Order: sequence, then structure tokens, then C-alpha cells
Amino acid sequence: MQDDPHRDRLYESPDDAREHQRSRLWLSNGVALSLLLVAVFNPVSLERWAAANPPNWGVETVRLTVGVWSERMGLARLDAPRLWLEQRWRDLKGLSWGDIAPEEDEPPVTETE
Amino acid sequence: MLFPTLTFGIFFVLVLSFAWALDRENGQRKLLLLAASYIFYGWWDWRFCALLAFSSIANWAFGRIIGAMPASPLRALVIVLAIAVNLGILGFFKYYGFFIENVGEALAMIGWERDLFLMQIILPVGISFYTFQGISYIIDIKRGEADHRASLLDAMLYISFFPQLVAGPIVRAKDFLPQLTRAPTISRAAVSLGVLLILWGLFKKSVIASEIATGIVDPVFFAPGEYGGIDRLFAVYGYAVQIYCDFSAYSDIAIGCAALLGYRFNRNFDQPYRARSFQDFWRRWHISLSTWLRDYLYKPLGGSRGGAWATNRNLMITMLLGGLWHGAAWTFLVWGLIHGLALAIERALGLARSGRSVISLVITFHVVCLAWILFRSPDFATAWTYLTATQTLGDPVQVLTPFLAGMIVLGLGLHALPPRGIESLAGAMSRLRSPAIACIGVFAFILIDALRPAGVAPFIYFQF
Repeated sequence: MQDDPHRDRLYESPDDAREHQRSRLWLSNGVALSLLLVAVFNPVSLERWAAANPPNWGVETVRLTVGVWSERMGLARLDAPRLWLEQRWRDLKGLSWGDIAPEEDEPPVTETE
Repeated sequence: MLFPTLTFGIFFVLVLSFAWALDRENGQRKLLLLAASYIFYGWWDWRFCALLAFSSIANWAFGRIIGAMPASPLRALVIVLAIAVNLGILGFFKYYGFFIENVGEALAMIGWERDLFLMQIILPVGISFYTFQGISYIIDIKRGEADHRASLLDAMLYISFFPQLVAGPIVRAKDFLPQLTRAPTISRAAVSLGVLLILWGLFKKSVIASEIATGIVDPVFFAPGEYGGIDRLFAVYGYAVQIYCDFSAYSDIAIGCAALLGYRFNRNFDQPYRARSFQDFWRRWHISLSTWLRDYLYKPLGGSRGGAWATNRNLMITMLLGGLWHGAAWTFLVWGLIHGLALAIERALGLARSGRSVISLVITFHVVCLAWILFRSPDFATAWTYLTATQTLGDPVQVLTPFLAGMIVLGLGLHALPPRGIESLAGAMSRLRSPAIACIGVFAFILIDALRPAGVAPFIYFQF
């Protein structure tokens, strides 16, 4: 196996069973909390997945349930960070070379009496 | 089932949960991972699960026979047969159409046209990768580096383990089989590394590679003659970034998924465009393939032991076959030829050993980009048009926008990051509490999900 001391150190498996159990619990808690946070802040992801799949009882149930949930989260403005990000990203994509080119100075208008 | 989809996300969370629930039952755990791997593969086309199973069982049986036999001509014959079976499967599914087509054209050229038996063969996804793993299994056993007494379950899981099944990295039997002998344990550092690699891979694939592909690379390579010099120049740089971000993303996600399941895969990319010579490039690009070719082809051919002529011959054979491994087309062969020639010239002039400056980095990168034009073009005519189109750099820019230029610069700029940045970050993250990790991970995920375009294009290396 290739020597990669930096990465290898991270892979070192704990021989101690209690240490392994603690790490496993740490992973389980992290996964559970992540799923909860994604459901609260990013239900639109699940909604899009359901909309992209061929409709059947299960997919439609998911789509409708998540649709309602997504709407409620939207009313609570919990989708605001995502919407803000999407808008800024669209603005960036829409930039043209003309938008970022420095504007040419117009010659000063001198009033003559 | 593609990595950057919710379907895979749900699948992986389920596999991860069940796998760690079975961490005291290694046999059942491996059975679960094998079943998950076949579901993952069957999601694409169930019919080819039989081919995968056949390849695994055949290699396991050959491994048993080879390992049990003393060194003898008969043993050598069995080894040749085992490799021939692997190459036969690959040859039939991947190169049959190419071969027949070219034989037909050659016969027509000498005025001896024949109706050859042409078949429309679907290329099973990942066949190049799992065939090479099968060969690795046989040769590692032959060399005594892998245990021939591995169970059928272990051999099947080695060949079909889902994170690396369809697009690598190509895992060696001697590296992976020992990891299956006991139930893995996990550390917080390995979990952090896995999570970071998955997020990093998602960002590179879903944001950088996807935007560049749809925005500039696909349209320009589709009709290169219709675009000006600036668009074509940036489309090549764009493709260099796209293929790196696409393929290294797959490898990162694969390595990350394996790490979360408690297994270790080798690094497959190491900032390849930092290379200051071609030798250096191949130490950084698709490392699992380049080392595979080095250990199982270049060295058995004689390597650099037989003088300059023999060394260059071995180098050219290795690179030509490496090129052909990527696809059944002459463009891939010539791509391999360019890399082989570059390596041979470097060796002849002693450039790989001499002091390497930023100029060598720029030259290496641009020759790599030149070769990418052939790699990306469907045929020589398109590549030729790309290189010789009459438009000049003064023509108006049609598709390159500030955003796309920024994405390309960002993709190249990733090579200026600290080489082991992910590992350092993983080490730091492992000291945090799980709610903090979850918040960081979810924030990064939402960021990627919000930025990425709708839909996911398949990974480039799926076609290989």
C-alpha cells in the first residue's frame, strides 16, 4: 500500500472497543442531526427529487408531504439563506464582460457663458 | 445510481446504519455490503450483475487453483488462462465493435470486403475497473502478496464493493483483502476525513465540473469551428478542469464512503496540474491506474532494466495500452501515444531529473491540455478542426462569461491549496462535538445543493 503518513494517521483504528463505540455513537448522532437539519433547512431538495421521479404512490406521498413541509418552512423564512444564495449565484452567472469592464470616463462638460 | 443524487444519499445512509449495526458480525456485515453492492450495480442494469458475479467467482476459483499449485509450467498456464478470461470479458464488451469495424475497413481497403458479424454490445458500466481488479487478484496471489485462501464472499466483495465498483479507484487485492479479515473499527478522524472527502467531491463534481461542462466545454467541442480562439482556448482549459474535478470527485466520494464504512482506499489524485514533468504528472493523476500499469505491465515487460531502447519500448507499450484502456477509439490510442512520447523525450533529455521550474509546470500543463483535445474529441476530424479552425484570438467571445472564467480559475486554483489540507482539516474536525460537525456538514451540503445546476450528468469515467 502506498505510504501516506498524513492520511494513514487518520485511518488508525482504535483497538479499544470503548473508543470504537464512542466514535460510532459520535457518527450516529452526527448523521441523525444532519438529517434533521436538512429536513428543516433544505426540504426543497427532497421535493425536487420526488418531482424528478416517475410518479407512484410512494413518490407522490413524499412529494405532497414534503411540499407542505417546505411551504411551512418557507413561511417561517427558514429557506431564506438558501434563496439568498441561489439569487447571488444567478446574479454571478448572469454577469457579462460589459458589466465588469471599467466604464469609460465621459469628457467633463464645461459651461461657457 | 449516481453519487451526487438523493437516491444514493438515502441508499448510503441505510447501508451505513445497517453496516455499523452489524459491527460485531463481520460475516453478516460483509454479506450486507455485498448485497448493497449488487443493488447499487443492478440499479443501472440488473442483467450485468450476472457478469459481475461470473467475473468474481471465476477469479476466486482461479486464485484458489493458482495458490494451491506449486510453481510449474501448468501453474503458469492457469495464470495465463485466468488473465485471458479477464481480458476476454473486457475485450468482448469493450473492443469487439471497434475491432470488427476496423477489420472491415482494412479489408475494404485491400478490395476484399466481407460482411462481418457486427453486434450492438452494451458496455457494462465499470467493466474496465473490475476487470483490472480481477487481474490484480490473480497476480497478487501468484506473487504471494495476497492470500489465495480468501473466502468466496471476500473475493466477491473485493471485486464488487460499491464505492469503487464503477469508476475506481482500482483497489489492489493485497491492500483490500486483509481489511476484510476482521470487523473494522472506526475513529472520529476517519469519519471526519470521510465526510470532508464526500462534501469536497460533491462540490467539485456538482458545481465546478457541471457548470464548466454545460457552459463552455460541451458547446465548443460539439462544433469547434464555430467558435473563436478565446472560446476554444478556455474550453480546453475548462476541459482540463472539468475532467479533474469530475474524476477526482468520484474518487474522493468513493474513498470517503469507504472510510465511513471503516475501510481504507489509497489516494487517487494529488493535485495533478502541479506536475512539473510528465513523470510527475503520472504520479499525481489516476494514481491507482498508473501504479497498476507500472506494476502489472511496465515492470513485467522489463521496465527500465534493458537499456534505452527497451525502456522506451516498454514505456510506449504501457502508455498505448493505458490510452486504449480508456476507450475503444483511435483518439485514445493517440492520447496514450502523446503521453508515451512525452515521457520518453523527458527520459532521453534527462528533464524529469533536472531542476524543475515554473516554466516546466506551464509546459507540462499545456502539453497535457493538448492531449486532452484528442481525449475529448469524438474523432480526429473534430480534434483537427479544434486545432486548426481559422478563427483567431481576436474573434468575438461567444460562450466564455466572467462566471465561467472564474470557475476555470477556481478549478486550477485548487492546485494551489495546501497538498494535505483535507487531512489537516479532518484532524481538526475530529476534535469537535457531533452537533458542531453536523451543522458544518449540513451548511456545506446546502451551499453545494443551492449552487449546483439542476440534474446531474454522469461521471466522465463511467464510459470507461
